[in-house]
Amino acid sequence: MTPDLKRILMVEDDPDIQTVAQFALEAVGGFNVQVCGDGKRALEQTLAFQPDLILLDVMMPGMDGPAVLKALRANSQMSGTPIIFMTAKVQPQEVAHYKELGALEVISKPFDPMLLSDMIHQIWEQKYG
Amino acid sequence: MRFPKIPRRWFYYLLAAMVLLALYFLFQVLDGWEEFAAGRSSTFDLHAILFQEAHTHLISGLLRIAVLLIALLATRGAFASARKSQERLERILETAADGIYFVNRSGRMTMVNAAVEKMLGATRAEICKTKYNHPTWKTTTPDGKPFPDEEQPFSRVIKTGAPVHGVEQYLQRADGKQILVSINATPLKREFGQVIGVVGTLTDITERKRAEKELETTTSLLKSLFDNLDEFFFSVDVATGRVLQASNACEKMFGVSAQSFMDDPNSWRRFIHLDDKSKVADARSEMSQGTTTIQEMRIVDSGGQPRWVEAKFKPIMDSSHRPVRFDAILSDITERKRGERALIESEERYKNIVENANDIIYRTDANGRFVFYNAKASQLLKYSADELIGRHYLDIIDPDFRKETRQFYRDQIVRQIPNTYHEVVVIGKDGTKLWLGQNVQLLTEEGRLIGFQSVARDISERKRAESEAQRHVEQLSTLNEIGRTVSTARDLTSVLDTIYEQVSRIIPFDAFYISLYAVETDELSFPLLIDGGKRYLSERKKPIHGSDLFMTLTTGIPRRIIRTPEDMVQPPKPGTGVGDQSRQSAALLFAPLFVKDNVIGVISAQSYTANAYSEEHLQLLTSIAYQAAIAINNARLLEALYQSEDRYKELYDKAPIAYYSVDASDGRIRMANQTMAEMLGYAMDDLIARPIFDVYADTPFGKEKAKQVFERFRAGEEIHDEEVQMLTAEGKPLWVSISAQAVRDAAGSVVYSRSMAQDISKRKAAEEGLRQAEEKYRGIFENAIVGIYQTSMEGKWLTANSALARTLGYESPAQMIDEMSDLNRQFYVDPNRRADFVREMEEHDVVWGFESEVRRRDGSIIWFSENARTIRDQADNRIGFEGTTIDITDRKQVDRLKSEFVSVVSHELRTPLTSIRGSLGLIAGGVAGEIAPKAKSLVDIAYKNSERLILLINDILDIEKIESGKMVFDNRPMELLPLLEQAVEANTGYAEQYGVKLLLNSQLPSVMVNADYGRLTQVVTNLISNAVKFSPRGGVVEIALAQRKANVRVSIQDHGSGIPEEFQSRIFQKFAQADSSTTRQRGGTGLGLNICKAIIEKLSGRIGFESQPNVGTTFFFDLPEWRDESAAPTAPAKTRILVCEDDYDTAALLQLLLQQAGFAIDLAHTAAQAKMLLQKNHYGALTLDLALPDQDDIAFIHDLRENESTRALPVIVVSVRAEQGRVAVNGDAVKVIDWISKPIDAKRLIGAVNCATAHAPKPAVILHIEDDDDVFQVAALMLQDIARVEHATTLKQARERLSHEHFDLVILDLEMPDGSGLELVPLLQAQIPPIPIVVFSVDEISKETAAKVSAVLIKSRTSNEKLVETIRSLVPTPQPVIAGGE
Repeated sequence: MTPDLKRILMVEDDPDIQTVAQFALEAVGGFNVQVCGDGKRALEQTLAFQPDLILLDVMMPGMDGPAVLKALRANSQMSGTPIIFMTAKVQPQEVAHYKELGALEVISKPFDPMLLSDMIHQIWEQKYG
Repeated sequence: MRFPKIPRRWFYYLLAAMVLLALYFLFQVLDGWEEFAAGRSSTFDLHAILFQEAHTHLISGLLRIAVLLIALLATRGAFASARKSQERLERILETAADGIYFVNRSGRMTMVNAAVEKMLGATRAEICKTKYNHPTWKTTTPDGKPFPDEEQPFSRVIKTGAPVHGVEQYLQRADGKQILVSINATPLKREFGQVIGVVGTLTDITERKRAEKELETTTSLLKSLFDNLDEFFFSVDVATGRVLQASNACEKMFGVSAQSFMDDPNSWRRFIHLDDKSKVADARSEMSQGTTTIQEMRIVDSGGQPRWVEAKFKPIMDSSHRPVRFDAILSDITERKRGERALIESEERYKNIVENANDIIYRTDANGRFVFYNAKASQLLKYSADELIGRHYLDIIDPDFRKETRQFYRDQIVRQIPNTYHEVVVIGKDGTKLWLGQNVQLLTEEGRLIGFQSVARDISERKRAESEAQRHVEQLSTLNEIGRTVSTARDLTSVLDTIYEQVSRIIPFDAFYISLYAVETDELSFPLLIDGGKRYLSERKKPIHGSDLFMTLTTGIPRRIIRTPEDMVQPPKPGTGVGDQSRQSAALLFAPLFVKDNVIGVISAQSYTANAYSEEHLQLLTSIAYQAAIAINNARLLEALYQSEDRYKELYDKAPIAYYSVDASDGRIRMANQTMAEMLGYAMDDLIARPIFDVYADTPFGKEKAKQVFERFRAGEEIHDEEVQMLTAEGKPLWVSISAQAVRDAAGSVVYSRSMAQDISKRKAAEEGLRQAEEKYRGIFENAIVGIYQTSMEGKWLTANSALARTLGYESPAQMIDEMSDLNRQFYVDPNRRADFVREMEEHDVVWGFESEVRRRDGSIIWFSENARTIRDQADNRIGFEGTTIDITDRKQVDRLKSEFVSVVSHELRTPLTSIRGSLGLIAGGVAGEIAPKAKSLVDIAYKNSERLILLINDILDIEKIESGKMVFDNRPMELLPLLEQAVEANTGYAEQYGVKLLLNSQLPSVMVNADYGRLTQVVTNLISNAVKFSPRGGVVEIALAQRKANVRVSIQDHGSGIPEEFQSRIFQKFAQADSSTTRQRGGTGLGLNICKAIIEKLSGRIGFESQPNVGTTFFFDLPEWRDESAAPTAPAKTRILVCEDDYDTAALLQLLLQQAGFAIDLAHTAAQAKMLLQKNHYGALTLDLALPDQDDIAFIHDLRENESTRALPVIVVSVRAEQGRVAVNGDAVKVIDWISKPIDAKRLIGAVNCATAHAPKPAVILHIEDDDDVFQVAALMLQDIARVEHATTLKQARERLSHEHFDLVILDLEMPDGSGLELVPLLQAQIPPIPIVVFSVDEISKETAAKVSAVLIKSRTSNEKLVETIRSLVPTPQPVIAGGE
């Protein structure tokens, strides 16, 4: 049975991208989206919001994406939350590295806002359908 | 026993009276009971009845007694007979051997018989006084234990009432002795079981016991004897075959215990040796007759050890005379047997020695008469075994030796020499003579001679060999003498004399001559001619054809001729007889005198005796002739030499080498030739007698060395090629190489030299030049800016220049080599780097731009780029590496910075773009609500351009990666078609936006390439999107996949406007778009094709396009097809030959021959098959039968020539009709390498095929001199079927390549970065043959110039077809070389 995908937490330090992505996910995809700008907040918000999926930027001040992922995985309450990286750093070896860390998939920036939600649904279906 | 004596009568009376009385009283009682019972009496008073009425009834009672008395009397007879039998019993008891006794219940003896009296030595009365506890009865048990009272047999029986039997016990006799008895005792009982006495017997067993004891002693004695015997004893039950008994020797005999021997049902038979089982059977059959047998047989014990036994089998018969068991005694006789065998063997041996001896053994008695001789003697002497017995030994001795032999024996006897040796000739029965060498032994007995014994050996062979050897020595010395003459004799006369002298020593003759033949005059001369001991003068005459002399002279074959008496009657053959013509020779020898391969004459020996010469003589003469010929020739040559001394002198003087001679004693020049004088610039007179050291320079290589050499020469050494410095007359030093040989006098001491000197000053100068050059290179090496080094295979510095040492922080190369002893650990930072380096070297022998981090002396790390190659020794073994190094640390730094920069910048650019594009995308998608149409179009523009910007950034990143070599390719074998399908599918949506359809058309369902999936997809996508962009609306883009030789070609074809010609050359360049308007119309970054090209080239492929204005463009790329190498390992490509031959056997033969010669073969049996194969494959040559079933063969050859692809194919005709074929085709245009007739000459076939394939047409090579890479690429692609196109981008490069490579044609661009292409024209025309030039340029050229080149084509005005056609016409079409069949 495919788990529900309604609540998405987006971790992104660039406020413009935050806005655009949130807009795209809510308006086009109809998701319940929360956003935050750094890794530390992401951890707090994951506990509070209990998202079905986290969209995680890689290059962030303070904790970067992989660090956030590791911290999430280390916490039993949040370790099960699936994570998709959304990043401009998508060299083949980089992508392989994210997947090794346990990312569900990697969405490359810049993304097409009209297709973003579809893409996430597709990934979800592929993994859990 | 005696009853008390009571008168028996009285007893009866009394008894009768008592009975009567009893009856009386009984009747009374009965009467009284009747009356009481009848009621007549009231009481039944027994007392009254008995006593009161007694007298009243007395009378009737008495009557009744009387009656009874009568009855009693009747019984008297019975008592009497009882009494009789009692008496008989008493008699038996009295006479019984055993004692019989009665004991009463109180244990007293009441009655005994006579036997007891005797046993105990006491009377009956005395015995009957005793009781059971009397000492008589109570002594001891046989084992000496005393009886307690209660155990005494009588008392026990009385007490228990049970009988006892066989109690053995000692009794005490009256005389005090003891006797052993066996006691039986039975109780006498009353009717109620009360024991009233004991009756029993006593048996005296003293004697029996003693006998028993004695037996036991004897038995045990026997048993111990039996068990300790060495012989093994056992007995066997005949019926069951079981061993009943076996002695302890069993252990020793068979190695098993006696018990297990007995338990084993098959025991004794199993130990019998297989070969001797029959002996057991023999013994058995004898035993059944009751006969005891003795056999010697072998047994094998449990340990497998065989031994000999003597077995004695004795049957034990029953009364019916049948054997019931048998006893066997086995004694070990192995030792004895061994002794016997040894004795037999020894005897046999001696017998054999004597009988089979290679020596003759015989014995005579004292008188010398044979008493014995062995087989060898009779074999050799041919006398039968006893024929000689009794005959005298002298009878067989050769008469010539008899006296000597007799003397020999006498001496032996007189001098009492026991053993002597002598050699004698004996004569066999058939007359053959034998040399015997014999050891003779005197046989004496008690000092008296009884005979001789000889051991003799046939030494005829040795004797023969000895005399042979002696003869050979003689012959050899003769030959040797002649040989010596050859080298010493100077004139012909002395040579001939020596030959004559020597020959007469070893070959008997009556006539002898040496005949020499002079070719010029065709005359024979006889410088030596002897006949009948007379020497004749030489005469000359013409050789007579057919004569024996002539035959040997012309054929060179030695001849031996024996004339029969009949021959002798005939007149002598003319020309053969010489000298004394009155006598004819009966035996003649002719031997040729050979000098090199020419017969210069004949030597002949002749005898009047017919059997004078054997084959051996002929051989001897031939050998002599061989030596003689040399001697004669030498002598003649010498004569000739003297005659030509003048000429010789001239040769000496004019020789190109300086000859001279130095006196060994004073070191002065004795003689010199003109050359020597000229070389040194002296007049001849001035030179002769001058001390040799005068002509040497005053340098270490001059006088100094010359003196050493001269001393060595005087010491006898030959001097070879010593390089010394002489001095010319003008005082100029001159390098010469001198050699000298000694000329010695008769005593062997060195007299003068034969020397020669060769001017080597030129060579020396060259060497000096070389040395200077080397020094110069050394200078370069030392002063180079780049590091230069040599290392060993193991990783040690061998040499290094200063630059390298300096770069690595060392003060000098020496210090570096000293301190850094292990490159593996100390030089490279990465410990595996050196291994990588070595591996690269092993694979390619060179490395180029090998970049590594290396350590400096101070530990700091820098980047090195190495170029290196393998050094090999002369045997081609790797011995080390040499290379150069450049410090590229700075460049690395810059690279890193650049790549970091690009990476950062692109990221930093993407981040804002992400939001820009995102926002615009949402707005344009209407997600943010409706917008006004005008605004919408503006947003669309912004959105589209943001997209372009993203693509641009991606492409720039790709370019950066490609250029920095960082693009990672994850190549793996994959199916190409699925990739194309996926790319088409992914782009279908995009194409639809342009109203364009994508069509995939593949001829290859399954083809593999080794590529990176992602990168290849990128290329295909890029090409598809380009094609879509440039297609008209409603157009179709066709994507095709096809095989192209070893490659696969993917092509993407559009039907657009085509690529403008002027742009075609730049199409793969960066930011190349036909015009900027295109960019605006079609989007795109202008980097796509450049990236595609880079990727395809990285995948070992090639990209290209064909375009026609308004027709369309096809972009394509070729990739090598990937084949599973592991499945079919491809051998190094062999040249493939097509064998066209209808006969299967011949075809197989041709295949075999050619395969062995290293070709790969395909067979075709018909012309049709051949044509089919020729279309499919490329062949180095074709062998053709001229009798193909399906097509006229000549027509077939013509067909081949008509066809473009087979025109150049070399053809070798292999046919029975080769000759006719040659005629038929003669003069025709058809080129055939060779015509080979059957049967096939393998050598010629392979030669022809080798010739054909070696000259197999090579593709033409074109040099394209063009600074624009794309133009070159395009041209190379177009021309790839005609020629291999090489590229030169500058004039300089072109000149360089032209100087050492061959090109068939040059395509020349005029505008080159370093000048005009026309500058090359003279150079190209100067080539032999001149290279055709095609000018392919933008500019027009003058008519004069055009006249010098083959063709002028103007870029952008020339269609591809025109270019191809022009060049095809100019490139030489490969033609087969015609190797003659002549």
